[in-house]
Formats: sequence, structure tokens, C-alpha cells
Amino acid sequence: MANKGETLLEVKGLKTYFHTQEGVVKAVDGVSFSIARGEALAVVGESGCGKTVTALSVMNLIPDPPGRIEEGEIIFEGRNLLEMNDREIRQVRGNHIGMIFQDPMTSLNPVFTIGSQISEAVRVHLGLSRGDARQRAIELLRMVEIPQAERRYKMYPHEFSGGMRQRAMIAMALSCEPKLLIADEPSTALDVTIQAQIMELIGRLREEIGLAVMLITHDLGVVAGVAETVLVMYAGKVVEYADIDRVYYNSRHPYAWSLMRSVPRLDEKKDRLLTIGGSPPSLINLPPGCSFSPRCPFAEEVCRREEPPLREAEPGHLSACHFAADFEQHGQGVKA
Amino acid sequence: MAALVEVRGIVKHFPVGKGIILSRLGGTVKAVDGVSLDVEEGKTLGLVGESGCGKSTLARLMLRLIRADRGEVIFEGRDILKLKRQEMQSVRRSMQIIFQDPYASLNPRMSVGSIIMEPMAIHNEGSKQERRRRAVELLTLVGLQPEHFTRYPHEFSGGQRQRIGVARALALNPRLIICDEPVSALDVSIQAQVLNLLKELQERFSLTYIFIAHDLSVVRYISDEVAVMYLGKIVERATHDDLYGNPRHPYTVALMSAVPLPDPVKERERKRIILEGDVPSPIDPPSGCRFHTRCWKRQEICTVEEPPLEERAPGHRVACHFPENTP
Repeated sequence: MANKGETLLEVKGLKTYFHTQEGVVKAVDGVSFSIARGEALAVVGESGCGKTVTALSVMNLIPDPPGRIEEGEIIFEGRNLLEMNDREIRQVRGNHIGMIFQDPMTSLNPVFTIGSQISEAVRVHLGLSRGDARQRAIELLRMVEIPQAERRYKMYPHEFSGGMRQRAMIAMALSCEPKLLIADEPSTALDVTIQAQIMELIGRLREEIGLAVMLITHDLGVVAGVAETVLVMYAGKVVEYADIDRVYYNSRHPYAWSLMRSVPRLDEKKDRLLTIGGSPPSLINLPPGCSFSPRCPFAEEVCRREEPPLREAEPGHLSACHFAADFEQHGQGVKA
Repeated sequence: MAALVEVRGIVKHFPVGKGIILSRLGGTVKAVDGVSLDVEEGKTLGLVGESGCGKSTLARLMLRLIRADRGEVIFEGRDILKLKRQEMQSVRRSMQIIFQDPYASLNPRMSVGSIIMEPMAIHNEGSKQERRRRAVELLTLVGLQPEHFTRYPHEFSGGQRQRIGVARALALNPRLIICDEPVSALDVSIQAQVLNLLKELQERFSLTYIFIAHDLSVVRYISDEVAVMYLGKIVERATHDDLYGNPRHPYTVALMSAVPLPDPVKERERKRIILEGDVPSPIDPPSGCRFHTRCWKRQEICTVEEPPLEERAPGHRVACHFPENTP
């Protein structure tokens, strides 16, 4: 996290709660991070950890009610998005920040052609004429490597395969040359060979147009190939935040540490996988102290009593664990 | 060791309708198109492939949940496809399945206890008390609590539901369990729990598994042997070490190359083989070798002649004219 370039997006103390009949769901509870120009940040965590809600908050797309951004600042290129009115925010969304989702089929309108959906975006945001918008849309389809772009322009979403739909979504998200692309599980619904194509494409676009990427995923493998920085979330909070090599090789939080060891790997033969007991807690009724303590193999009494703050375990490496500073020794001691 | 199950030349084509009315035939989906394989008792065969390759159809054919067009499934020495209904019923207790989606595969109106006791009731196993005792025993075996007996599926998390599915599959002491993507709907931290459970149960009861998955890393962890499917055919079949150490079919090579590793340094150095395009439609599969449209090694012959699944090294079968890693 040292030597970061100029900051593009900064999120400070974001709290997004959902007010439901069962109680207040603290989906995102005090999350802070920043993305520099051209940087790729991965937000990693299991379902329900708040990673998608974080992304939707940045885009100001939280359904209200029941959701509400209670606190925090989202500063994009020096301006707080949370203080903007609807018109201003629409300018940012689409023009400066593009977003793609896990399931491209639900994000595309089935009754309009792919081409008309992309050209609509460029006409609205860039004010191009019909003809120019069409040209631009075809160019975009070429950029995301859709073969026979002119012919595909006239086709409907159902005539596209899953991988092609995701490419079309990327084309649409990039239509106004945004500086930041938020990708929410962009390859999860796709087969591995197609996933590799899409991740390769995102990597290439980063190099070519200097795009910053916020990649949201549960797949530790996908992250490894793309991200420079990793933000690990658990139960609505950031538990670890550092550059990728630190998180992967020198994790200072037992959640990330155990998660790395619990995934089967293609390049290793293992007899037993490490397991994390239990399941993620309910966000309405969090355990006292550290939310991970009931599942933590190294937890001690203090963990069940006091919530550990997110602080530097070493320069540029944030961790929310009472034993972050001497995590390795602590872990070794308990394991033995 | 003898094979517990053997499949010989099994074929399943599904007719697809054209237009609104199904009766106008528009062709057939060649879901499984001549597959032969065998699994030894007590071992795990991993069946890998992308969506639409026919792996789930193959599983259902082996359990006779759907009727095969042609071929044989030899289980415990008998071709089960030829058995009468009643004979089949008695074979079914030895073959069970665990499904992918633990939300869809448990009846929400039944308590966990009755879900687990249902197979025993169907097969008239034991008295009610005995079934109840067995169900409680199974709950503990899969890592749940006896008091979960009276609860309902919605009260459980995904991982716990999958455990209930495992308990149900074990209820009749089967010899073969087909696991159809049993962990792909689960969170990362829960996957390991279920995978370890399946391994422990296998060791304890010398179960035979056919483990279907699209995730090569998961298959590597659980399998003794692996078969790779592409468009209704097996393209490679080898032991676990041979397949992962020495993949020979270009499709297997590409598939492995596409799997991301949770290792940033390795990922940065890695040269990926990126396959072009999508999997072709199984309604009209390519001529010759079905993989030739995406293969980087294709030659003239690949487009006209289908390569047979041949043994290129001891225990290592490949269907390719120009296999990799082969002298």
C-alpha cells in the first residue's frame, strides 16, 4: 500500500444498514479503503460479508428502503458522492465509474438488442448522435473481442453465450471511458475457460486504458492473478487490508490465514484441508468481541470480550486481530 | 480390485423441439454420446468438465434416473438397465446421490428427521424406532446434533443442509454415492468442511464415489482417478497423479491452465493457454474431434476423423491425434 499513486476513490468509515423486520442488518459497518488511479483492489469474503453492499454503496445504488448509508464519505476525484444530488450522481455513475455484475443475463434487457443497449448508454452519457453512437458501440464490441461486431450489434441477449454477455456488459460499462470499473463476481457464473478469457480481458483493458478496478469475489485464485491490493471482509467489517503478497504469504488475520489453507489447490496434493468450523454469523446478532472469535482456532478470552480495532500490524498492513503483531508466533503456539 | 460399476458405450440423446410446439423435431442434444468407464470399489472417480458436457446426465444414467438410449451399466455384476422395476428397487438402496443445491434438494415441509428416515421407510427398513435411532446416529455421523432431528431445512445454513443431504444418502448403507457438484454452491470456508466429511466417510465405510465437479482443484483433492468430459465424450482418463502431473489431451491442458491459483507469485509468472470461443452446441457437435474448433494443435485429420480413446501410457487413456506430453 506504500507508494500508491494519486487517489481516485476513497471510502471513509462507510456504514450501510438495512432496516428489516427482524432488526437492523449492519451489512457494512465502518469500512474504509482507497483505490489509486490504475490500481486493482480486490474485496474478498464469503457471501453476506458485505462486499457487494460496499460496491453498491460506492455506486449509490442501495435500495432505500430498506437500506441506508448511515455514515461515511465516498470521495471520488475529490468530491463526496454522498453529498451529490441524483443528477450529479448519475453523471459520475456510468461516466466515471462503470459496473459489471455476476449474472450478465439479469443486467441486460432481453427485449432490446445488445447494440441498442450499448448505444443508449453512450447517447445518454456522451450525447452522441444515433449514427455516432452506433459506430462507438461497434468499436466497443470489438474492443472486448466480440467477433463479427456488426452482426452481433443487432442480436439479442439470448443469442449470446454467458461469456459473450459478460463481454457485452463490460463493453457497456466501459462505453464512457470510466476511470474505475467495479466488477462484482464477474466470472463466477462462467466456466473456467471462459472465466480465464474474461479475466484476461479485464487485465488487458487495465493496461491499455489505465483503468482502476475494484474486483469483488470469493475466489482466492481469481484475485491472485489480478489484484495488487486485497481487502478481506468478514461480517460487514474489514479484517485485513494490505498488498496482495502480504495477505497471501504473510497474513496477519486468522480468517484470511485459515481461508488460504482451506481451499483445495490445483498445484498441490493435500491429504486433509484445514477447516474453519461453524458458519459466518448473522449480521443482526453478532457475537460479542471479535466477530470471528467463535470460529477462530486461535481465539482467547480477550477475543470474546473486546472487539479488535483495525490497525497496522506492520507498516502498510492492516489487521483487525488482537494478536496481529505477533500472529505467526501466536498461531504456532496454539497449533502445537 | 474389481470394478463396482462399469459403464459401457452409454448414449443419451434428448430430442429438442423447434418452434412453439415440441412435436416438430429440431434435432437432438447429444448429451452423452458413447461413454465407457469403470470405478473400483472404495475409490473415487472425479468427473470433470464444463457446463453442458454431459457429466450430470451421465450420473443420472448410471443411477437409471433417466433411461439410456443405448449401452450398459454393470453394477454388482448385473446390467441394471435391463432389470425389472422391482429388481431395480432393491439395487437402488446401494446407489445414492448427493445433489448440488442443498436448498432445492431438501423438502422444506419435512423435518430433518423425516428427510433422513424417508429412504428407510421407502425400502421398509427396520421399525419406526429403529429408523429413528438410525437417523439420530446419522446426524451425529455427519457432524450435526441429535436435537436437529425435529428441525426444518430452512433453519440450517448451506453447509449444514449439505450435511443433511449426506446423511440421507448414507441412510441405507449404500456402496456407491454419486456426488453431483456437492460443494459448488457452498462458501469457501464451508467447502472444506464438506469435502473432509466426504473423505472421512469414505475411509470409514469404504464407499465408492463418483464425484462430479467443474472445479479441477476440488476434484484433485478428492479423487483417485479422473475422467475429463467434453461435449458428451470422455477425452481423457487417468489416475489422479498422471492427469495432474502429465495431462495429455489439449483440452485438459487448457482447462488446467485456466484454473487460477491462489498464489500471486505463481500467477504473475504463469503463461496461460486461453481457449478461443465457447463450447460448441451439443445439438450439432463439430465433425471429427469435437474439440478441434478450439484446439491450438488441430491438423487436417482432426476435422474429419474422430480420435478414439486410447491407452497412451499404462492406465492413461486419451482421445487425441496429437496428445501433449507423449513421446
